Amino acid sequence: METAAIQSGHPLVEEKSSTKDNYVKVYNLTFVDKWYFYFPPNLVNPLYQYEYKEVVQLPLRLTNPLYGREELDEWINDKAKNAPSIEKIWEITARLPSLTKMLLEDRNNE
Amino acid sequence: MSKYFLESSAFTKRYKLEDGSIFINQLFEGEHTLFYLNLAILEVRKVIFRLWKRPLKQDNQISEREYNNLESRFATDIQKMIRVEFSEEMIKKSLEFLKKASENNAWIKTSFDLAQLTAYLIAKEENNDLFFVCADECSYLIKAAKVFVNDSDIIIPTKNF
Repeated sequence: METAAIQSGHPLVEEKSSTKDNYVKVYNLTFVDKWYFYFPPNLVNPLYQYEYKEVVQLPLRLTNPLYGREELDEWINDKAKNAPSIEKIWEITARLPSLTKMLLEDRNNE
Repeated sequence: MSKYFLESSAFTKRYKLEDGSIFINQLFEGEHTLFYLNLAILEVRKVIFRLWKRPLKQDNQISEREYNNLESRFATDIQKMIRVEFSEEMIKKSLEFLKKASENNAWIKTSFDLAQLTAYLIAKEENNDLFFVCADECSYLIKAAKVFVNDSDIIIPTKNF
């Protein structure tokens, strides 16, 4: 497991994650209001007491930005078969408005 | 052999003959290295889909066959290009670029503009001879790009090309 650095003095939430199978476990590192006693008697400062609590399991589908890359490449390679010439495309689009103008209008209307 | 980063608006110049199309076409026909951002797939495909299902005027609608032809041509083109993935580093850096552009009186208006510019600037850090090709002459994007790179690194395909 990878552990994020713990900032002392403040009860901040930290995360660490581990991978198992196709999931990423996300943990919150939270401040625990507990006092521990050890022998020899020594009261452990609770400010530094943290515990990991599992929050959610996320599939790699939601955490890996390259998830689905193979499928996308497959789509591209499949679609690219028997592509018409660029001249043929120009024939199709000759009667159409500017595609660039359409794209920019759509974008500017975000 | 030169390197070019095609913003989505440059892509669409390829598929309809108009000012600047010949230059864009030459990039594809020549021995150049062409880069694009993965998000451009989304933008360009949306335009093509709109021509089929949401045309501006009824007589400008394309058929399903024509739609598939356009998609097919686009797929062939990007097959030969280098796809830049929009990374988490780019998400973080995009705000830095937005801030710097803003401080220089250049407002990056849309999120896609910001994504494209960020991707280009980071790609340029890895390929310092990379040109930015953007067809939007009047855009905030061009003005913002000029904050970060020389004018000579920016190509606006117009009738002058």
